[in-house]
Amino acid sequence: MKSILLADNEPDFLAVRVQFLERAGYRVYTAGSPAEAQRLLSDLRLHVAILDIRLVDDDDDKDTSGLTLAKDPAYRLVPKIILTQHPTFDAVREALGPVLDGLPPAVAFLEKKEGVEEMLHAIEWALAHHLRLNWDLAVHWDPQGRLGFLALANALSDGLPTELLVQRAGELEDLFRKLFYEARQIRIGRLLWHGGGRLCMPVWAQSPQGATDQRLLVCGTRDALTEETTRLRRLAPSTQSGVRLESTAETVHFSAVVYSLPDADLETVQPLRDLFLGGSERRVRPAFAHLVQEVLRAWHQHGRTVAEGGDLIALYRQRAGLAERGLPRAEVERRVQVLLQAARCLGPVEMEGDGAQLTFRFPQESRLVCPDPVATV
Amino acid sequence: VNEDPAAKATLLLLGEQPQSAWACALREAVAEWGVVDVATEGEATAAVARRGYDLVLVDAGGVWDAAALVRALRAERPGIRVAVVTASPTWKRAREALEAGSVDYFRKSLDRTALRAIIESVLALVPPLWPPKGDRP
Repeated sequence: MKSILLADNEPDFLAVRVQFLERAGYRVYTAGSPAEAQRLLSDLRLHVAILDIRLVDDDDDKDTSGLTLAKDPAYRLVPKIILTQHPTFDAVREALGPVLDGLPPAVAFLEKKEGVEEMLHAIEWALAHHLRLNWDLAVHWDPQGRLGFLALANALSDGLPTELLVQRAGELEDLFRKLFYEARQIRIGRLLWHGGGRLCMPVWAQSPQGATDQRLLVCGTRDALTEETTRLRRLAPSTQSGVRLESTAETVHFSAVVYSLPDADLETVQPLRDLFLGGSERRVRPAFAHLVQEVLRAWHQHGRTVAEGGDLIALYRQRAGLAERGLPRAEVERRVQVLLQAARCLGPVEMEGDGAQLTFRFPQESRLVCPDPVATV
Repeated sequence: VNEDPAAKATLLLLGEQPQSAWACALREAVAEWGVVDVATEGEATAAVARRGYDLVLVDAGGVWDAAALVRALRAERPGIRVAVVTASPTWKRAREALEAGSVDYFRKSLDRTALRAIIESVLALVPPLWPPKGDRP
């Protein structure tokens, strides 16, 4: 069922609109203050939020708390409809325009007296064009995997109370419906790995025409996934044979990434860790050889060029910041002497330096001779 | 600001006379980095079909229906950046223009500095990806 948040500080208006919206088939949550609206936006699986501009004081033209909430980047993925009894040109512009990162603060703007029909029309518009969930997607779970959206939510949001866990499970379902917007049905395979706020599983997606694509899906908390996709976009080699990022989707708390692995059989694929722990040497050896010689080679060569005749010491000095501001010889000599004096208190070791070598004489042991750092300056 | 004349931003102004006070103010405001073409409402879709303008400015006071024109321009060239300008803004017309897919709806100004600032900010906006909202019930 599609869920809507209706936030207004006028209880009578809320009560009447809730009746109409529920009659239209929506589950409606209400909030009477900015704090309550914010809590529900954070906790619940919401498909649309309808926010009155003045959530604190209807008579205060400085009260734009609903608009402020609409602009909060934490909830940018929930399509919002702005509602007001006092429409102005500036408020419309602030709510519907300017689009800086592809999304305006709100997707529709309504005057309260425009009525229920207009509100229902705006909700349908927001659901169809801004939320874009595949409501008809059939989701099948691998019976061996013992998974479900609740199990996934539990794995990603450990320790949440049951009522919030149920909301997160619904949010994950929305994430999949967003991710496979074009598919008719998907089959979700066993959990391949889980950790670091992410989990991974194979998914087979069937198009309305009947073609099936096998994909690897990684989903997790938004922070964890953002880090993964940022690294991937920056570092991944552009080879055609490797893993390719196909699509991404986000909800308020979760993100997901779909990869294609053109050469892999996802029915039998397993994490390298599992192979290493449980596989025979005969299977592990070629896997590591492939990892090092093919996969990592491509990743490390990405964006690099081979320079002939380079000097490794010069490169080290350059990377360590020693190239241009080296210490003068006298300063190095002074520091070495300070170190030698400080080291004498550590034990009965005799030390001497002659500018070319440092000699350490340990009791009842042979002496140790090292190059004097001063000589390298 | 791009100093290369060949790479200047291209603006198309619709619904204004080429020598009107606002058209002249606009030309002067963006002269350093932009060029302004002027066309009538009837020439609009052909003009954007011919050339991918960086920004199309629709003067709401000089066209029959600004929101309809925004929809027509987006239908002709999806992804085009259109903004509606007006001397007398109203919330309903602002809503129509923004729902039709204009990236902004702002009040005309003859102050060159303010005008340049707003055009620069509008040029940074992303045209909406979703289709224009349909007629109200």
